[in-house]
Amino acid sequence: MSRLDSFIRRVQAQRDCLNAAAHLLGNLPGPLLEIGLGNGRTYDHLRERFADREIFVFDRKVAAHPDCIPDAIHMILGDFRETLPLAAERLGALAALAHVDCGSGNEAASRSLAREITAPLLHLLRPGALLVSDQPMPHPDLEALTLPDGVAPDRYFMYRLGQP
Amino acid sequence: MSRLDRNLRRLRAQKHFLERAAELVAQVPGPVLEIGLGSGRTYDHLRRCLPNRLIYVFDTEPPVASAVAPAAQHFVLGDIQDTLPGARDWLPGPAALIHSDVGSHDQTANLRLNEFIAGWLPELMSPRGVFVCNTAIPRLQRLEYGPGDLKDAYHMYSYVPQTDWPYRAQPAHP
Repeated sequence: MSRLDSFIRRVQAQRDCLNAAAHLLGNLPGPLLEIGLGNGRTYDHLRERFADREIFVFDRKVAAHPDCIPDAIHMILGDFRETLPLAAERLGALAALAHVDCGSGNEAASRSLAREITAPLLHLLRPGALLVSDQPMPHPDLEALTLPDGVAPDRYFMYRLGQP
Repeated sequence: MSRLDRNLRRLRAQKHFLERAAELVAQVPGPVLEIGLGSGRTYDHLRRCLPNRLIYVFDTEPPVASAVAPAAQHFVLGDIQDTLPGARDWLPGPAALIHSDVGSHDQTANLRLNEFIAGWLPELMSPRGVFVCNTAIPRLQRLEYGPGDLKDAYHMYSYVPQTDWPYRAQPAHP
């Protein structure tokens, strides 16, 4: 499989999982969290699919297309490991959905970052909230969800935060 | 349609048109020119579709460490408008396939570059060679459209020698 093929599958999985999450989420209240802005394409997708929700975006720096940059109130700059534990007040409410896209070229580093941010991220989520991630984020409070048709296991990940 | 949707459609169109172009040039001699390397996704795809062709890659930046990149002797570093005009002097022969995707957000700049390349096709391309690119080129006749929603998401032209080729070869920067 070429790099082009595997990238197409990844982007397709990302989109299909976010669309599935939009259906699953229903009326669960709360803002959305985008962990990793990157070029802003999934942020653009989220704000299109969830037009009536606030979206808070976390990243170390802003390198997105100019049309896909959130306003200063919703853009939280810095290392996730530092910004997530301090974000609760900024959000003002527990979030209904988080999308984590923190993969870099280095798989071991990406997985380790995802492990480190799982607990602080879960503190920002409402019971029943959805977590969609490009990295596995196993945790006792998270129930793994069935992926949409056509998304291979391990290409993308979906979880629901259990009720207390 | 979100930028994510549009990007996915563009990637699927790239795959479709590169594979189609590889079929169309099966009997056309010559190397492949890849204009714009980026992460090497389409370069990687092209070398699998056309395993026996030489592929020369042109880019303004050296390959990043994580890119799939060709051997140094098949990589041409510099502004395309400086490096392309002289390429006929060192290429082993006219090209069978040219793919241009410099990946700029600026579609006007992309069009200008693709029209620049179009001007050099008579010099650089084998008859019936195929030019695949990321913008429509107004004065060239589309070779074929993509299926369904890919119809207009990427673009493909054929070079057929003719006396009144609609684009003039522009010289390299002075």
